[in-house]
Amino acid sequence: MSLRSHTRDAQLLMPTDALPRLREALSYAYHNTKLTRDKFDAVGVLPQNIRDSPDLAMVPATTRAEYRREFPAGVLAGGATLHDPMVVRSRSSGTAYERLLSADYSYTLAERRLGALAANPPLLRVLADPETRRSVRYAAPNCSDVECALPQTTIRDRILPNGMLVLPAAHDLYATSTQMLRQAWNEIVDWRPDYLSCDPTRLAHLLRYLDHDDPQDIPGRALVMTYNFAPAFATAYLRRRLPTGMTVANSVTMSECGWVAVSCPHGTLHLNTAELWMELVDADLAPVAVGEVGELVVTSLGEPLSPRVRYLTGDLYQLLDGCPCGHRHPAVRFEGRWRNAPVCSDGSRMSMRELDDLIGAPEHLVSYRFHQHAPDRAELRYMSSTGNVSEWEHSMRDRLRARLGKVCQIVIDVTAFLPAERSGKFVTCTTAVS
Amino acid sequence: MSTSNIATTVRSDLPILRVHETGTRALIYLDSAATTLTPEPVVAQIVAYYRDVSASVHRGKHMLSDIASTHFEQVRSDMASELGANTRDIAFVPNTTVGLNTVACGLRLSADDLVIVPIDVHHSNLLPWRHRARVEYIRLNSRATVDLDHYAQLLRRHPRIVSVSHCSNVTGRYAPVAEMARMAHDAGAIFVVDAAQSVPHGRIRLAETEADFAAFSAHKMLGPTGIGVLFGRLGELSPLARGGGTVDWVDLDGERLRDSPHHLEPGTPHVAGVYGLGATLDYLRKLGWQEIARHDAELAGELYRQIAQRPHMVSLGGTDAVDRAAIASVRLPPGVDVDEVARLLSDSYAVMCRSGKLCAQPLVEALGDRRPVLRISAYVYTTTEEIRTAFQAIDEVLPMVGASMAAR
Repeated sequence: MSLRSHTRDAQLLMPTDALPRLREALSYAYHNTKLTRDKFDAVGVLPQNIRDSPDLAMVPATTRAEYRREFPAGVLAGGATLHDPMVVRSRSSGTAYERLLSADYSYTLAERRLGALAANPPLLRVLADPETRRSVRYAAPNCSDVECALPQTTIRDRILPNGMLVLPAAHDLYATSTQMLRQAWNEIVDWRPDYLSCDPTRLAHLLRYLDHDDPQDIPGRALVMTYNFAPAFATAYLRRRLPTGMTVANSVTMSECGWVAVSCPHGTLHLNTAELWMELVDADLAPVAVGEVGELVVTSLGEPLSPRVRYLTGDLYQLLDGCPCGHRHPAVRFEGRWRNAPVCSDGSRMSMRELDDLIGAPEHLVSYRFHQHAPDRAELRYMSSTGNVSEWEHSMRDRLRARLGKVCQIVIDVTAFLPAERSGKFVTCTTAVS
Repeated sequence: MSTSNIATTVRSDLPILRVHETGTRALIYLDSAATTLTPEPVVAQIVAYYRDVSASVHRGKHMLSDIASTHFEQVRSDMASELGANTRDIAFVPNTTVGLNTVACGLRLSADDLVIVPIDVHHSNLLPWRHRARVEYIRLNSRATVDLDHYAQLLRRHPRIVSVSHCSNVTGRYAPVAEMARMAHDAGAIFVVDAAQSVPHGRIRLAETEADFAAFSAHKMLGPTGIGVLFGRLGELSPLARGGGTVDWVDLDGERLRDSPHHLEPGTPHVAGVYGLGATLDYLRKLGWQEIARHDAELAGELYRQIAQRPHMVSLGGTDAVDRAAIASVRLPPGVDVDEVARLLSDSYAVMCRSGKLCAQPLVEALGDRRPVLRISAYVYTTTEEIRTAFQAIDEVLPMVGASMAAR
């Protein structure tokens, strides 16, 4: 699975003192959930066989599809129901075969958030401040269980119990009506949030719309860029637009795992190993080395409701060699979804982040979408503030072909519109090649 | 992909061209302006929908409905990207005719409104207007395209709508739509385009024409019948029909329409058709729009070369092939029953072409002598050799039906 070949040096992400919690979690999952028991039994492994970190390799991984099929009876711990008032039920933003229902106790989600935020004390101070009562969420409609895409919903319909206002958002980002953009901004102003939790591409689009004729300062003490991959064109725009003094961080959250990673004040992403047992693995489920890209596999620690065991997240991360902040949570770089990574002629995959690095954030670039139709055919469509930029197109074609392979024909075209996925997420890179 | 490769590629996906029951002659299909042949990947996608999914879209929460909805909306996105539009601008309609009727109805015209159309429009771009407003006709010039001077004169009468054929289904001539759209907008008129014959031939970037509305059908571009696309400022249209799927909220006092484009898609849509349309788009994109246009120009060149060599045939709109799709309509010598010729070409030579007045009776009568014409229309799977073979067949048939081969 690694995108580039590096020297193989198995890297354990977890501190040794987490091992007792892992053993306890495996035992609990085995004795309380059908899915885990069936998977262990299928390979003749018992929880007590897992004595050390490498032994975990004996445990089969759990796929999203398996989790979906077994939910809830096969994955909730014996006796638990979805009816418990402490249970938070989540619907993932995925559609069709990517969709997923999951459940967690609200307090375990809070613990995971707290564990992740240990890597970013300034952000933690804002989010944990008793004075922080109001926030806004601006993301694809499917990223919340609130029908924010329906025009008749009122602000009252979209306020969550924790004081978070879900802003109105159209399914198709760049087809959002100006009326809806204006409504979202007015609600931000009216709600006076202490912090914002936003899909960076969506927020950048909103600010561009405002900047066109009515630039305004963004309220709030912090911005958490989350829900979606953060492309350079969006983060560059936001950096220019955000007020100085605002705390800005990236976080990766999953409906089925909560807060998986958060960036430190240096901007480096750190995996939340405080509450989750993390592995970064290649296609053979072997650990990847520093510098390599692997899929994140998660085992929940201390999860009483719906324990996950070696859950394949489908998300790719590059393992970094530490971070200047010195925090003990492993430093990584989020690379995007595995299934979206185009396949190159040398058999390797180009991650969404690698593509984004190639494209960068030139001044003219408003947004882009790359799609690989076939191994030898791809297209890059981009929205531009200055019309088509031929020189940049030539240079991009050369750089993309150098990575994807000389046989790949790449159409590059400027456009006024780029479609989002039906989930409402705008994805900068997709492939039809499996 | 080179132009000759296009036909080879597409033909390999068309079993109908490989096996034909009328005898030893291979099928030569030259009625593509009516409906094109459907390649296997498109058929496979339609079958896959019925075999693997079958559920309706935007209805249930169950997985099959979600899969169908995801695919359905993905096709809309892909189509929007290809047209240079956004998804709010794209509605799925049964065909071009319904698309144009949706516009004519949705703009809430009054009997006093003036609509101007060139005389070369298809009936589907004439009757929807004529039943709702006053219609005046733009004359054609000697090349059978819009007379821009006359058009400018008519614009001074403050029409509410200008509606044109991007490409004539009779002459294959393209209208200068970008220029006409600018003139219409300067005069404060809404500009509507029947793109049924232009999009299939590579003129896909409808947004660049500055049309306010345009419609086209999948079945003229290798896709299935019963599905088409309406493009434009759909939020300004009131729905042609109302019912399930078009509303967000209904109570005993009223209803609230869904956002564009869903308010124009009543009832359970032709989901399989949209699957097929998606496969069609992917298929054509793979061939390459520029390559399709180049191949079409090559076919048009051959078509009009063959006609020019036969002085007993009169081509409607002249014999030059410049800026013209591979569509030609010819008047045969007097006394010849063109329907009989079409039947003989079909049954004896396996050459399928169209006879009649081509749903453009005012044009055929204006350019011709009131008699029906024979139309030969090619597409991506057609070869220049097939065109030559078809004309040889016509050469054999005409003397048999008593035609005089003298120049006309």
